[in-house]
Amino acid sequence: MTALDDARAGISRFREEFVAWLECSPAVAELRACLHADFALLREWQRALAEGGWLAVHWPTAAGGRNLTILHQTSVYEEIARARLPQPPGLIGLEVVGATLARHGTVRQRARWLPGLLSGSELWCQGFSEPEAGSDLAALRTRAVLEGDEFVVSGQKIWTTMGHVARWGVVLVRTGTLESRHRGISYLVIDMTSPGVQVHPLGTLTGESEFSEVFLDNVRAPAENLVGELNGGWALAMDTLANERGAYMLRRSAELEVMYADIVNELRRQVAAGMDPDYAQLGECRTMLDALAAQGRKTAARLASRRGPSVFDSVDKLLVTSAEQALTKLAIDHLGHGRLVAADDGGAAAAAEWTNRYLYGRASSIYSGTRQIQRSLLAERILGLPKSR
Amino acid sequence: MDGMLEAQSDIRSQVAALIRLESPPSALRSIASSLTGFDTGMWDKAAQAGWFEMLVPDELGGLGLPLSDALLLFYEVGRSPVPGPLVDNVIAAAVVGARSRHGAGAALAPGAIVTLADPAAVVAADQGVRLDEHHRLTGTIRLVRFPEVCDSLLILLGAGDGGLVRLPAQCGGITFRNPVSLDAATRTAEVALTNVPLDSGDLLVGPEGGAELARELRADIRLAMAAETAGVCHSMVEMTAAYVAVRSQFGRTIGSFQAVQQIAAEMYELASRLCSLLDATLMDLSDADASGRAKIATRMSAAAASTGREVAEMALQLHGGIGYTSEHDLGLLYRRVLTLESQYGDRRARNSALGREVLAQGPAA
Repeated sequence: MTALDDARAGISRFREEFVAWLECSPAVAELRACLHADFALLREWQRALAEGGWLAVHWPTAAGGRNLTILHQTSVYEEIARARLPQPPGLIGLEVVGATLARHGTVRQRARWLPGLLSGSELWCQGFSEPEAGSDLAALRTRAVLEGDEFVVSGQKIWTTMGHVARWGVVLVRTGTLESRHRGISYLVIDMTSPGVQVHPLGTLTGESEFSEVFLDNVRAPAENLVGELNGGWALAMDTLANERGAYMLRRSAELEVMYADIVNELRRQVAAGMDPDYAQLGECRTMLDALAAQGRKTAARLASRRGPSVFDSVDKLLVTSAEQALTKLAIDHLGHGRLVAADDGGAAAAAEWTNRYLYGRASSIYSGTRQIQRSLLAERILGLPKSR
Repeated sequence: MDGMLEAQSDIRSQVAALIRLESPPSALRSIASSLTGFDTGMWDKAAQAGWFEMLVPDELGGLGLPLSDALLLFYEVGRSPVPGPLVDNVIAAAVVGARSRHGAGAALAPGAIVTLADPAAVVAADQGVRLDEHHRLTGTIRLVRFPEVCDSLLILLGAGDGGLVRLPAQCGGITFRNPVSLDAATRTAEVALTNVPLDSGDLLVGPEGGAELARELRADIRLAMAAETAGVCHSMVEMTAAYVAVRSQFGRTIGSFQAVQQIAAEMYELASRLCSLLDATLMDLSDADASGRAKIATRMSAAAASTGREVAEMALQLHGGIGYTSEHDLGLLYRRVLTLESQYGDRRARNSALGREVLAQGPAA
């Protein structure tokens, strides 16, 4: 966001306050002191942010927020990125589950779950996709049967981000018939430490374990863990995804700006060393980020109006994905092992990091609704073309 | 088309209505095949509607509207092209008039049509026009829009001299060479000057203000062309979505095939990206000073060059053979996009310029 956008949104002061806090936060000093922050340290980082009152600031005060806007929250993530600090590890909870619980949870549910979610003492994961229900989410089969005052859940989830470290998980479960599709799905919270929960972390192309397979075998969850209505989970899931996509779009835009700045700084060193970058490619990436920022203003307005899911979420996702892939392509074209200018501080590590960013960029047109799914939605709902199979 | 350009205005609807009435594609085709490629009918209506006064300051008898309003006009012109030297008369004449040492009256005789001869319109390192010690102009400027139908030429002098002169189009020592129709709405020619003597009144802006004037003119014209490109893209998406919804093969409309939908959606994605950028530009222009405006122009015009042709290529693909024929209106838009991306830098030049600008800035935050 530019200074102008800040002024329009009235968040200049808030941003300054956060930057000032960052500068004297002991947690930041601790993070900077170690080269590779371990997970415990990252959780400490989230706790410090939460205690400082910098997380979920757009939630209602009753839910632990500060009743500010999503733009305030975005400015926090933006400054974290700009300071080259890691985002808090509980983002799935903060951006996805938490927003849904804050809006649809009962007073009891919010009191039980939100404080730990905010502080990072309890991490969350979200089990939506299944091996046979990826892009076609409404075909999910994981079944929950009410027995007395407990649900008994069996099935399998996949691509569960943070599944291997999460204390709690929200799962979309089938409580109606398979044929009822999206009308027979409920939104249920399960304790990931319950008997019958097995989590297999999946290694990825980048060499990390970001997501897992989750096997659920007669897992028991109290009926009071149901969020929203029985068989009313689809609307919550869609609401979740709308939150997720809007917030993700704004945060990712900010992170991509920082990535671009890092690439530019590296290219300056190359130019100084007599190398000649592809200026046109650099320029094209700039225009993609500009367009993303322009689109972000519309997204922010849409999120602020709380109109719920919109087909323009698909447009946002497509634009972020294209920008991310263009940027990481720029990086892999210019900052590979054979091209990085030798630096005192680990050039090889930097090249490896850029390779991983490139690979992660390739995932962006797959996760959270593939590019093709988003385009099909757009063709149908914006261009008015017939539904296709 | 839902969500394409958010900025709505009376100007948009008035311009669109006028074009629909006076310059529909059928009229454009017949004008394009005429000798000059220009028709005073639409032009006079545009003049009556105030197109050529909108940016002229109040105190000089104009409407004193902001540039953003002109960009909305060009967006609508993009949706349905209008022949003639529009940027020259909507933008250049007003900018020059406001800066001219002789006041607007000198630059703008009522009803006079002007064209801007600017050596920077081409990427090639042309010399432009030089002033010799006897105050005579010599040199060639390419890609000048419609010089044959103009009353006056506004000539930006080469970097060494700087400044801007106005000459009558019909005057000894000036010839127009190698005319081309870039598209149905644009004729250009080379303007060649050989020892054209300059009167004291011909120099509207001297060397002292020349560089600043050139920068302002180029920024505003590039913004107008980018806005126009966004309009063309909008039309191409609209036209294509409508076509694939009715064209039927294998017993169903081709728009029901995924392969077709994916391409149509990508067209929308690209076009809406440019339109969002234009929306942001319209908002930001009011707070931008001259250098801010130039910066926005560099970005907008780079984005336009990266978008227009790609959208056109996909539009043609989805139209199939009919889109390749001159029977269909798609070709009017396709060629228009090529014209718009060939002036003031092409895709490579504009994006490289932007890339160099980015690298030249101080270390990023």
